[in-house]
This record gives sequence, structure tokens and C-alpha cells, in this order.
Amino acid sequence: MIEYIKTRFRDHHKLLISVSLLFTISLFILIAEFLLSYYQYTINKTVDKKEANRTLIIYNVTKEMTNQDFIELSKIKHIINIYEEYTNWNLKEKDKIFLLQNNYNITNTKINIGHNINSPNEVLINKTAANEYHLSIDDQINLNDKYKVKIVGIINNDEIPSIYFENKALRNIALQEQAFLNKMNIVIDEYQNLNFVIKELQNRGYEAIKNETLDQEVNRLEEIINNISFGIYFIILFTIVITFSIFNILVKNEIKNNALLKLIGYKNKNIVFMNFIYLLIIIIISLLSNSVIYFFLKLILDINNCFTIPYIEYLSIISYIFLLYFIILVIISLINHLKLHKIDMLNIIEES
Amino acid sequence: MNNVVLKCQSLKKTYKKKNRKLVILKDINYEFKSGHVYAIVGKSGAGKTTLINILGLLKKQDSGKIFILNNDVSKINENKASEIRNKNIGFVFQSFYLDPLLTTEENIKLPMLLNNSLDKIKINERVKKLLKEVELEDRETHFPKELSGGEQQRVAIARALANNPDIILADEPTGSLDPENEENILNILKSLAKKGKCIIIVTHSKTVREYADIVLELKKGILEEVSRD
Ligand SMILES: Nc1ncnc2c1ncn2[C@@H]1O[C@H](COP(=O)(O)OP(=O)(O)O)[C@@H](O)[C@H]1O
Ligand SMILES: [Mg+2]
Repeated sequence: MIEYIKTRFRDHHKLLISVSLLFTISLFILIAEFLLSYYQYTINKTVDKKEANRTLIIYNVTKEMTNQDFIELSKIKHIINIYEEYTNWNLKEKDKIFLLQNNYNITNTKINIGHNINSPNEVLINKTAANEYHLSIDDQINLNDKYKVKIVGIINNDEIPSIYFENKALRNIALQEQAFLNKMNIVIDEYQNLNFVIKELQNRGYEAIKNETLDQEVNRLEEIINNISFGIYFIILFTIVITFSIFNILVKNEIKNNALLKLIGYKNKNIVFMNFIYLLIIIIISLLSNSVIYFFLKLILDINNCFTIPYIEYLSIISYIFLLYFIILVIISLINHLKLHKIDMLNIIEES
Repeated sequence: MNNVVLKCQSLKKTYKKKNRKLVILKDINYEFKSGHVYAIVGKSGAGKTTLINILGLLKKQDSGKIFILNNDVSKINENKASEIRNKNIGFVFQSFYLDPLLTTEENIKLPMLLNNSLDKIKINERVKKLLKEVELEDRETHFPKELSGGEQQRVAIARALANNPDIILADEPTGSLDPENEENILNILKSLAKKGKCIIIVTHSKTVREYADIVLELKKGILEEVSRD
């Protein structure tokens, strides 16, 4: 049987046409996926670059925010961080007044000068505080006569004497002191989830504000992505139709030879199996040539530091294409099997 | 030499087209014996090809029975029919019907690949012998399009003989050949009959009638022996 399948490849013309058609279609899908990945990548970069833009500033429009809000908000999906705005919250030590801040700001804007807070009672202070109150690293201070903390670093930030706590420690203090705030900052995991979080906040009676200019930029990119995604659906539909037709033509083209095989005693399942293997090999050849193009392109683009689809992503794309082709092949084979059952040898033989 | 290899009993076949019933075979009864050349004649559209297809298990009759080597094959399934076609029946057609992608040798081999009792060496030996029988020893690697009509038909005959069947069914085998090639083919078929095969030829040709041992006419759905001229 394998010998017979091999002889089918003597028809170079047919082989070339079918392979190049399947190859072209898979290339279309690849290019579309490439564009999609490229724009996704651009969005992520844009959003990443402007870290602060993943931040929402929320106001409570009806009442002042309490620690209860703090706990409530942390339950919303996609929120990875909430931190209090410092404006109206102070802690005292003797005659010193400190503005209370979250070290999140510092670590994320990368102005931390190498001092890290490792435990809840370690803090950073700013230069203003250090100068005004004559404080230095390793000094102990007792805030509100309750919180003994140790200064582990001095940073250059803000005009008002401030003290920077680790997030969790700050939350604890907030709970005990029952501080009142009117706004908090929220950081979410992905820019794409911004709208979801805004809606959640609105449902809970808060008002949320986000950066408008970035929003426009991302919206534009997202629009492009949507268009490409739509294009991909179209291409997949197109692929299904074209592949179906190609296979159908190939199988129909074989009907005379299939009838001949049947005539000399081959069983339907043998014939269908041989057609199946033949088409499977065509699929594999066309996807292999697609891979060759991909690796070649990747080589050139990598040298020029251009964006390329990563191997893993490419592999998943090519697997999907293979799956698509394969499913169509199975359907065609089943149809072929039914057709062979009803084949009218008389007609086929007389037609020839 | 004279045993019945193919027998049909009250075969009936009708085609339905747009609510119109067309009775093609009304009541066919005949016993075909080994060692004979039969010629089936009849007007165009009389149902000769239909009959040959039913005898070759390529089409199902509406009713009636067919016996091949005394086995009732009227109700066998498609796979079983394939096996019988492979082992017991050889087909030859007017249009030769060779696989265009296969060489002479490969075309002849094709039915043998299904025969488990033949290994590669035996297959090659058999192909050589058959090529010699149809006088095509020097054409074994030619493709069909590189052969003349007469040569193609001889390849088809060799392929029909591949598994040494008892019955050869030929539908107008000389219909597209010149007189010289026609005689050549008929001589081959005749010599096969002498070796004990049952040869059934559907034909329009006078020459075939002359070559045949028995002439049968298909007329109004009935098959009857007639005189040779
Ligand atoms: N599949 C079919 N459906 C309907 N009618 C058919 C079919 N095949 C053949 N026929 C009709 O049956 C008749 C006999 O056909 P055929 O056996 O080919 O005759 P012959 O070989 O004697 O010329 C013709 O009239 C033909 O039109
Ligand atoms: Mg006919």
C-alpha cells in the first residue's frame, strides 16, 4: 500500500499545486498571527512603560473612605495593590509630625536608593524629614507612642517630612488608627482589565479616574488588534472553505483511480486510507515549508532586532493550523468513504 | 475443462429515473463454462455493460442469483465482493483503464499486492511471465501514455490475469483498436480460453463474433444463444 501511495507523488503538478495552496493559506494565518502578536506586544510595552497608568485614583463620592473601604476594595478581581494617599494622614513622635506614606510609590518609581524594607517595623524617611528632625539611618522612633520603628534608609522624595512603611505594616496601622481618607490609589494587573475594575468600582458607589491620553493610544492599538482578530476569523473561514475544496478536488481527481482499485479488489477502507495518507503527507509538506519560512525569517529579523513571534507561540499556531487541516481531512475522508460505497463503476468506466 | 464457473439465475435489473421504471434485465439465466469464449451482442443500450457489471459484482441486481465456482455470491457484502473480484475475476475495458501514474509492471502488479500468498520474488516472476504472455517484455517501465492503444490493452489483459482468475469479463475490449490489434488481442483471449479460462466479451464487432465459441444476444432483457453469423 505504501508503494502505491508513493506512486501518487509522481504527479508533480498536482503535488506542487496542492502543497503551494496549503502553504499559502498557512502563511496567511501566520502573517495575521504575527501582526496580532506584534500589536499585543506594542500595547504591553506602552502600558508597561507608563506604570502609573495602570493606576486608578478612586474617590468615594458619598462618604469619606475608611479602612472598611480598603478591605472591600481589595476583594475586586484584577486589583493587585491598593495604597492610601498620604495627604491628610499624619503620625507623631514627640514634636515631630510625619506624613504617612506607602513604600509602593518608591519601589515602583525606582527612586529607592538601594535601601529595602525587610520587616514591618523598618521604615524609610525622606531627606526633608532627616534634615528637619536630625534623623539618620538606624535611628529608632516611636510613633504615637505605639509604633516603634527603625529607619533603614533615607530617600530623596517630597517636600513634606514623610515616613514610608511597608504596605502590610501600613495597612495594620490604618486599621488600628481608623484613618479617614477621601481617595486611594488602585493598581490593576493588566491594562485590559481597567474597564472591568472601573465598572466594579462604580457598582460599589466609587468614582474612578484614569489617564486619558494613554487610553486613547491603547484604544487605537486595540482597535487594530480587533480588526486583525476579525481578519483572522475571516482567514480561518477562508481556510476552511479553500482547504475543503482543495481536498475535495484532490479526492475527486482520484475517483477514477479509486474505481480502478475497487475494480481489482481493493476494499473501500484501504482506498480511503491511502487517500488519507496521501493528503496527510501533502499537509505535512506544506506545514514544513511554512516552518522553514518562519525559521528563515526569524533568523533575519533577530539579527536586525525586529519583533518576531517566539518559537512557542509559533508552534501553537502551526499546531492549530495542522489541527484545522486534519479535521477537514477526516471529514473529507468520511465523505469519500460514503461516496465509494455508492460509486457507479459503470458511469466512471464509460466516462473514461 | 467444461465445468460451470459462472451461473446466473433469473437476474433482474431496473433503473428508476424520474419515476420512470426502465427494465434493463428482465430474466437472465445462463451457465458460463470454463474453456470457452462467449460473445455477448446486442443493441446499444440493451444493458450489456449493466450485465457485465452485475456479473463482476460491481453492481447489485434487483433480484436473482449469481454463482461463482458454485458459491452463491448474490448476497455477499462489499468487502467479500472485493475479495472475489481480486481472486476470481479479471476485467478488461474498451478504454483500457490503466493507472496513468504506474508503469506497465506496476499496473500488472497492483492486484497481486493484495494477494498474501505471493511474496515479492513470486510477484516479480509472475509479472515477467505475464509480460511474456502478452508480448510486452521490453515495455515494463513504460507509462500508459507511452504505449499504443493495443499495447495498453495488452497491459490491461495482463493485469486482469494477475491473480490467475477463472473468469475474464471484457467490455468492448477491442472497441477502440484497429483490426490488426483487435486480432492480436482476440488471439490472446482465445489462447487463455484454451488454457481453461472462461472469457466473456461484450462486443459490437463482427470479428469477435467469429472468434467466439458461443454468441449470446441480449435483447429485451433476455439473454439467448444465437448462431455465430
Ligand atoms: N445509473 C444509471 N441510472 C439510470 N439508467 C442507467 C444507469 N446506467 C445505465 N442506465 C441505462 O441503462 C441502459 C443500459 O445501459 P448499458 O448497460 O450501458 O447498455 P449497453 O452497454 O448495452 O450499451 C441505458 O439505456 C442506460 O441509459
Ligand atoms: Mg456498454
